[in-house]
Amino acid sequence: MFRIGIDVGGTFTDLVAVDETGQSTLAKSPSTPADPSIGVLEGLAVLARALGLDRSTMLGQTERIVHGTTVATNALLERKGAKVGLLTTAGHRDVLEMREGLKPEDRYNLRLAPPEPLVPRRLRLGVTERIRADGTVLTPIDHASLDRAIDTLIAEGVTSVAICFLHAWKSAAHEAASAERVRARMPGAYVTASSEVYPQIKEYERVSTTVVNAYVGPVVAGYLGRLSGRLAEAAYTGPLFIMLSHGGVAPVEEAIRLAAATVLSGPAGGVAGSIHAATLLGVPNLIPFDMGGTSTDISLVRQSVPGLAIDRGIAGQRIALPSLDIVTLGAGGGSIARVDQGGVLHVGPESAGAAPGPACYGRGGTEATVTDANVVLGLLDPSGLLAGGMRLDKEAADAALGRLGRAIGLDAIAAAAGVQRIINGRMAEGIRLVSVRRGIDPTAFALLAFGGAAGLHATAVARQLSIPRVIVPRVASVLSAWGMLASEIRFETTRSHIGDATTMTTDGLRRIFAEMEADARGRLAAVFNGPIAIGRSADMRYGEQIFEINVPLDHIDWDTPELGRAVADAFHQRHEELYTYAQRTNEVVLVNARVAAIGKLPELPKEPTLGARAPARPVRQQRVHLGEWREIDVLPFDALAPGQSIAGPALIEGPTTTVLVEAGDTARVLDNGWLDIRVG
Amino acid sequence: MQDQPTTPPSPSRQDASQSVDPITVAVVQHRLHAIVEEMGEAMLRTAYSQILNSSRDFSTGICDGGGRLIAQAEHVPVHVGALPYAARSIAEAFAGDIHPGDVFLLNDPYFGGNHLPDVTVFVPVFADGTLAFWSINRAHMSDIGGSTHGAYNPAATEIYQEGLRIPPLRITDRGAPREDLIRMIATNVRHSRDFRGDLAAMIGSAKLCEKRLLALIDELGTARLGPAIEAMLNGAERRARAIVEAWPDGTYFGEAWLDDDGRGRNDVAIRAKVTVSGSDLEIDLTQSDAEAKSFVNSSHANMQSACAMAFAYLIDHDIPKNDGSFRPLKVKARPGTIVWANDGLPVTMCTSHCSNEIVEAIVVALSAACPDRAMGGWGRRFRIAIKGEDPRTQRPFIWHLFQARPGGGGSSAGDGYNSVGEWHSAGGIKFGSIEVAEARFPFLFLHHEFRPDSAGDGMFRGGTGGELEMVVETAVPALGNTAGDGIRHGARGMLGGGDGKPHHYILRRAATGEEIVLGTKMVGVAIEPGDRLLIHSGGGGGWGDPAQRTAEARQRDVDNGLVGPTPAPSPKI
Repeated sequence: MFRIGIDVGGTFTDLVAVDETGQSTLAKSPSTPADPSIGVLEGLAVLARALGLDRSTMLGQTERIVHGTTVATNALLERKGAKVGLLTTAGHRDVLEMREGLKPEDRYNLRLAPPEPLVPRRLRLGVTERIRADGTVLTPIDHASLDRAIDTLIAEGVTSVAICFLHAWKSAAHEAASAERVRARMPGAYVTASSEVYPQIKEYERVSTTVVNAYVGPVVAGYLGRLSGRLAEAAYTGPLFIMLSHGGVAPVEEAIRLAAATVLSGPAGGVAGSIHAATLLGVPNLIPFDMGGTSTDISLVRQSVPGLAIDRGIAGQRIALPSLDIVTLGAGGGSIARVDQGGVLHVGPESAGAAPGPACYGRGGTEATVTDANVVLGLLDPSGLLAGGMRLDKEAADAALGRLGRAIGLDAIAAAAGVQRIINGRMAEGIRLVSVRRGIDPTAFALLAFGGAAGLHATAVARQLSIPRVIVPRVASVLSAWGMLASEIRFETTRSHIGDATTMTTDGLRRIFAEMEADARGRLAAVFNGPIAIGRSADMRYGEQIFEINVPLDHIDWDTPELGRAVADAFHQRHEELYTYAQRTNEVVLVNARVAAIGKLPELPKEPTLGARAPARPVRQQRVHLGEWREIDVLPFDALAPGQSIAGPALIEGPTTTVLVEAGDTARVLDNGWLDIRVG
Repeated sequence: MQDQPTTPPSPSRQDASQSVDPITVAVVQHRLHAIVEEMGEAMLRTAYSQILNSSRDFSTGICDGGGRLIAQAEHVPVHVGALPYAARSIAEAFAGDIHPGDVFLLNDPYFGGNHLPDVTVFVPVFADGTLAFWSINRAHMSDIGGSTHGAYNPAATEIYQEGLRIPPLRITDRGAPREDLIRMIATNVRHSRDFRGDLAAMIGSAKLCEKRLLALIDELGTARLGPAIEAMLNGAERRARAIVEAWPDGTYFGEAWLDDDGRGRNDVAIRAKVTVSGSDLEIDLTQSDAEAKSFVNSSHANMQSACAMAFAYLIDHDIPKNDGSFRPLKVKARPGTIVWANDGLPVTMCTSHCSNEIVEAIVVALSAACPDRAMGGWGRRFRIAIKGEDPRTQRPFIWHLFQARPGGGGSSAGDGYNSVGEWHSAGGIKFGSIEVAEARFPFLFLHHEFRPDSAGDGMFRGGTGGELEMVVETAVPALGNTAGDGIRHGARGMLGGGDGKPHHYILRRAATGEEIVLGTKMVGVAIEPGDRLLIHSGGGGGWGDPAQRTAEARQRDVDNGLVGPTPAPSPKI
């Protein structure tokens, strides 16, 4: 039986099938952005051919498909979501647009039009009702006002309704009654109540998350519906799982219900792949570093567990659901370098994109990009072919860097070296964001470099941060699809419970977590009959603080009679790691209890090792500028032999990436053909 | 009184034309920015008081050993231009006696503070045994002692009634906290536990910055870092000068008014005579009205900061705000005027008023020189601080009103932001969650939305103000102080745009239904259990001729209930 992972990117759809022996088969086919499910089915046909099967035969032998999608992300970025109506507590319809009074963009830019909210004010309607902070009802729900609001939404042709009432984190009764009424009167509409997606205190976070869910929900539902239909037509009868932003997978129905949780579905695959890699390699501490053409995703895997964040935003929208702590930098191989009027050199955030692309692509681009700098420095071979059979135009790259250099009094070479230093510095800053700024020392981690542009920058970035080790997968492009197959099914439950952790009784704490565990287990068991693991954490703060820190609680002793103290101690310790101090005599408030039910899927079989072969020989020498010009060896990535060791400086060329091993570095080839570089 | 140029001479600059690697300059600029941002984030997440953790009323920055501003995070604009004055005060007070591990404190507006509640922490950072940087965090404390809670004391006639004055003070000596001094300060403020929590957060973030700077010094060495910083400052200066250069030479006038000084004097004028000459800009505030016997005076550092803020708003937003970008700017002012009070006078209101009027007068003046850069006026601040007891916990509380923000100004780029705040914070201060506020304070927020028909009309209208109705659910009477301005003068319309509507706040008695219109400078207003506050904040000023506003834009405002269907009255020209 096969398991198939499918990662739909902007340009290509990557697929991987893994059989019982762990043998993986790869396929790549063009994405079809208008309806990605078409590209997926075409990709499945390509994959079947690679297996020597026809598609329905392959699907008949497939036990599970896991899929990462950017449908929700794109709907947000391109503002192509549903027409949403929002029901709020009367008198509070502007919470969404007020953003707590914060102007999100540059503080000093007072010539800036405000962003359009996802729901315009005329579709944000108040319902007469009010619940107090303690959950008691101040004003019962006025059904006439609810019906008037629904009348307006129907008249306006709204297809998706978000409901967010004040203090619904404490009592969901009014939201539930309203949702029922909306569902009854608007049968085709997609309905999201805040208490169903994010039952937590803080109304802006909640309304924003709810509205995002309502906005992308119908798009995600439509797409996944079409995909499920096409898979059924193609004779697939097994389950379809969707990658979620928190790095777990969920059945299609859950992904449709909690559509806002799929906005990081795409990059989550890369992290999932990294976690799997961490297990396979026996390197539990990894920093996944995915450097592409226009952007770079950086995250952190510690003891094989990815970092989670609860304060993510995408395309200016706040989504408060737990998601992988992925930092996305607007810089990559295609980033444009420019000199500002003050004579300071910047790289990005503008990108040459695919068209016109870097100057060296010869498609009319004239501005110097990171890729052009790499050509000028000899790191990319102008005589070689890029993917798609394109030849690089070295003269164009030289000219672009020459122009850039003249603006700051440097020649093309020095300018190119400068562009490299700046981009590497920005990448290092991104890694500091997920490590140092989370209280974690990156030197105890290995950098896992993937994405087309990562290979030429990873060792330099690692060196800047004193990271001793860089690992480069052999087939980085399908790392995501492959990682999805190794992901667990994950259901998250959260409950706001504001109380002093130190004075909470051991029984009280155990009871809250036990109830939540039962709830999460129940939901998971409805779709999954394998073994279930439980993860517990809590968001906590000192009494008067307002931002909580998420503190994992799995490692504490749940049988201690002083459970409250143990929980508080875990918080003090984390606070000190993050902010240089703790205040151990002050009260610790537990705001949100979190429980994740994790369905353990059968382990992905280990990839077979490469057979023994003769060490690969350099295919040529290339003249490269590494502080000075020198001739260095170029080796073919695909022909490397397990155990082979390569002393830097050297370039290792693969079909989709080129890796620079610098002087003093040593690359060793692992059993599965990956590179393990010791940064000297 | 004679005119007196007050911009301090910049300490001698190294010649930046010496061999500086332009790449290192860029690396250093990005890194310093990342450091001050990280510092701000740590502060936000660890502070105790609502005004800091929820409302973000603090700023972080780095000065060099000579007190020049090197980098600052984008928090509260009015703090930042004042930081160099404070850094120099500390350096002067402790010359020759500054050591690694020291921490200094200051709040006195006559030593480079903005006003007393803004307490500033300084951590010196050493390179090769020499003082290289100051890591600085300026934060608005919830209370600073004095005769009223929350520092704003409209009745004050001298600074001593406003709170504790902290001149340059060493609170940690080579790593050893001077607990006696800290206790002395904490004892003199209300809610000393919060004060200590906030101070710990400030010091924590400043130490974090020190740690990062030491790593940077270690990485690059002072021989490379010093020249790179000079080149970075010079680059910012070049960019700022290129913009001023494009404005027509000449002298421009602008005026803005405070409603009153709280002592019976109305329409206190701030007058800006702004001269553009090549790439130099001189702001002359000497003709502003005389100082007041009330807290609307500005301190010197705060006045400098307001001028820097106006300049920063008019140049390109992405020019780094540092010593270099402010070099084209010269400020002239006179002690004894409303913008620069003599020592001993109260100044607590000055970070909003008269800061906002200083900014507005400068923008009005330069709207003739750079119309596309000048923006409609942003709202004025009108705050209420309530002191009472929470019947649910019997604990005392102090609460500051941050909800129902006034509108931002329209600009050549489009309409203003609705309900986003005042000139001096520019959308950098949050009002926080109403759910959290109701859980923590005995208040019920019945209504909190945009205020229709409050925005100044224009080709691009101002943002609307906000409206708030809240019930004070105490069991025993609470006390309210107001502090602010702008119930007579609304935010200024620019280039033909209309003014925003002024503020209008009402206290409605639960017992009698009586409605009391609140003034902006009231002390000890008794708030009975069940009384309601009905708050209508001012709209932002419009930009450009209202006749140029598109029909679609007008219809959208009507559909969204932001503007009534009747056309707004024609604006003054």
